[in-house]
Amino acid sequence: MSEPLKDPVVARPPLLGLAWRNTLRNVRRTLLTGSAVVVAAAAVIFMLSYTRGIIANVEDAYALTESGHARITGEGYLDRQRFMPLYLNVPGLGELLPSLRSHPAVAEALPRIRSAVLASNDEMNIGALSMGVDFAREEGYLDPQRMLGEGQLPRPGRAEAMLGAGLAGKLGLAPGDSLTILGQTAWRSFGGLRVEVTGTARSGVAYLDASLILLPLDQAQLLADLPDAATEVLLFARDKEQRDELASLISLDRPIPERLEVRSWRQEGTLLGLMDVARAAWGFFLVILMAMAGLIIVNTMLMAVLERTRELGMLAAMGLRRGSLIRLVVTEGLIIGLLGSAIGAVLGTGVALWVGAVGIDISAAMEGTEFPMGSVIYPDWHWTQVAVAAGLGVATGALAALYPALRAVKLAPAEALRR
Amino acid sequence: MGSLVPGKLGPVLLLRLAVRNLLRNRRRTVLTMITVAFAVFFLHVWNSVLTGLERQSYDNLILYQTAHAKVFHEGWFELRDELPLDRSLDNIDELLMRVTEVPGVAAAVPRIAFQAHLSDGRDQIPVQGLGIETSGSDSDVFRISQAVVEGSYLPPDGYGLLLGSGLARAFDAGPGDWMTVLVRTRTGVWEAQEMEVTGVVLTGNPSIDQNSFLMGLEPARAMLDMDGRATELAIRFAGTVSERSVLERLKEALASDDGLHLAGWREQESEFIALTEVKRGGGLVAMAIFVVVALVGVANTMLLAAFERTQEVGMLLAMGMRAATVRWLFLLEGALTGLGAGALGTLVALGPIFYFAARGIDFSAMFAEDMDIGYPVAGRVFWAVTPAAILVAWLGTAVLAAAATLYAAARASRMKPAEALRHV
Repeated sequence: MSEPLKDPVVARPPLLGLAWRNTLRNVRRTLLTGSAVVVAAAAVIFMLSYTRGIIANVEDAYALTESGHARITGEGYLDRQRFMPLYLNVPGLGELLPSLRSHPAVAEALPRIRSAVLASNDEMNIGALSMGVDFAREEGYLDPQRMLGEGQLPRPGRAEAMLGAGLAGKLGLAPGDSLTILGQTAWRSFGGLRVEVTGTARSGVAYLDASLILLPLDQAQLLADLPDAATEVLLFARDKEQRDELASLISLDRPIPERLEVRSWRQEGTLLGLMDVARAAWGFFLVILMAMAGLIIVNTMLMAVLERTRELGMLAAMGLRRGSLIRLVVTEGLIIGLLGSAIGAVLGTGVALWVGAVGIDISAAMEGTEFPMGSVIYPDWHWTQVAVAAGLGVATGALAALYPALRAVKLAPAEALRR
Repeated sequence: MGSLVPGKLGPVLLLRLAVRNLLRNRRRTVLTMITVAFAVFFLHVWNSVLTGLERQSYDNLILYQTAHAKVFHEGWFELRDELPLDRSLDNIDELLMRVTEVPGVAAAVPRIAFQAHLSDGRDQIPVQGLGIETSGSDSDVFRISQAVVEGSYLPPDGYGLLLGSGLARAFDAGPGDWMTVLVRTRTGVWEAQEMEVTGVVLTGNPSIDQNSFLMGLEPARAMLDMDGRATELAIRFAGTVSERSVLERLKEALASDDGLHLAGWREQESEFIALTEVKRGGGLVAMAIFVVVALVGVANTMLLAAFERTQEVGMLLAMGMRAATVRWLFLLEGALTGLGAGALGTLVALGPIFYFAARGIDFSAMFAEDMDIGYPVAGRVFWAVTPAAILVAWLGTAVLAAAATLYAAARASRMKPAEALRHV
């Protein structure tokens, strides 16, 4: 305190040093004040990583199973996609796929045939979703290898299939058993295929496990009578930044044959819109949390400042400007906010990483829903969350110090004169 | 303190002391209360919205899907995913009589639920078909007739289709369009019938809206080879009696017949009910964070007070007040802070709760009309007024606030009088 007092007209008082010393004067109280920020910052980081985990989970599951980052289908398919019409399809894969895959923005182009079928074990029929896929190329996307519970993957060119674990259980089928698949062809006649079950799948997406049949693409083409065609081609972007614009890039650079359309995943359905609503709701939640932490800081800062009214008055009498006084107190708030955020960041990061490693199992909640979401949520920690929490914490500290600061400068001169 | 303080204070005196201590630093008390009131407010609002959603969902299930209870043929319920026709009820009239004689049963009506493929001539999908009494008695149990949003309800002879709104949209079909219903009869024969759509229903219940059509019971019986039969008897209870007791009485009335299975709506929808509880638990995690931050606020303030009042507490101890009494004093101050904050948060929350309980919030404005938001509700969602929950949250706040004061109270009472006085 002594240095600035020597010269009554210090143009640039060392506010930072002063404020720092003030926070150390009553360490106990500083810790108390900071504890609010610690808890709030830790909570913010955990909640951000948790919601990021959920949203990434939903978006990924949706992109990998339904929409890709862009999707090529027959014209009008999307309006009727609930019926999975085979007569609206993407023909000429032999030419189309190489052309798509050669585009620099495209990481992979995956043909799939989707159709509603009846799975029959000769005793009963169960409605199922049949998907014909290119097993080799789906690695890292639909990732049949990772889904594989028991047995092995079906091989291209052979009448083999992989069943969702729930479906296999209902039909009482295990690897090695045979299964009859009944469905429609693209020409609306009845089609049938007898396959050997080679494996069962656990995708982590509840409704898929209950209904999915995975076939080699060529077998699905046989069943649907669709040689060299698929019902959709899913496109995935090489670069995460290009996910949203992949559809427009492709439409510009590649001649899309007539009667086909390219759709971005952002244009599909209301699901991703729902995710935006969820983001907004969480943002509101975090702001309220910080407001509460702010009130707690106001409380303790107010006490710290009012206690020092006399001293602040002295500083004012010696020529420290109003603005500088306010800055002095606000700097103290900033420091407390910063310290609190730092400790809170460590705490929140620890919890987020720990839970992120363990995961939160919500499979009980997902049972029976058609929400495309994996059944384990892994909070997804990212350094930007720490930045957000620290930013909010520091801003809260400074803002919350403002009211005590204003009160102090109002009281200080009078208090100083009274002595 | 004026006169000498006795070692142990009576509760009234202790309370007065606590109140005075809180009033000594009004600004601080009010700020702390506001922090806690935030948490209480959000807890109330969240609980009100969620309870409203749950109640409305359960009502919706009862009104459109499960009734209060249903009687099935033995074994049907276990195979309900397949809607088997070969496990159906016959002797409906006799069963109806036995059921409606049970006190507390308001009405009962037979229905047939069956698997069907619905086609507009271009595409077809597997859906659930429901054959319902069109003479009017279905409306004694269910409320389908009031959910018609386009066209009209089924004609008395039952020939016609009511489409779920999601199906109507998928087919781009409406009243006046003809559709083909393809079914397998009870004996396993494929059978197809052309029928005209008379109306579209929007119930908010995805299993109806997205996945079902309704037609008259008699035409359904004829089509499915189910003459005189039904797959279920749906029962509505009188509103004034306890659900459980009617269910018990029904069970007794049907006990003599072991070919039957009685399932209350909670049994039919046990999965959905479990799901709502999981969702509630998820939200509770977020609410707990609010509460923790609020409690940090209380703990802070009370700890500050303990530090600040070192001399005073020392004086009290020196004059013979017991440490336990000092502890009680601090706990009481914490509890009173919680009680006041609870009152504040509750008062502020009651405004929106009562308003939206009366007016409801239109969710369909936020989401697509029949999007599955995880709760089967349509149109307006009315917040629930739950006096018990409000009271519990309020009193709970006081208890938690007192708990948050434990450390401060322990610190304050552990002071040694001599040391405390040295600060003077």
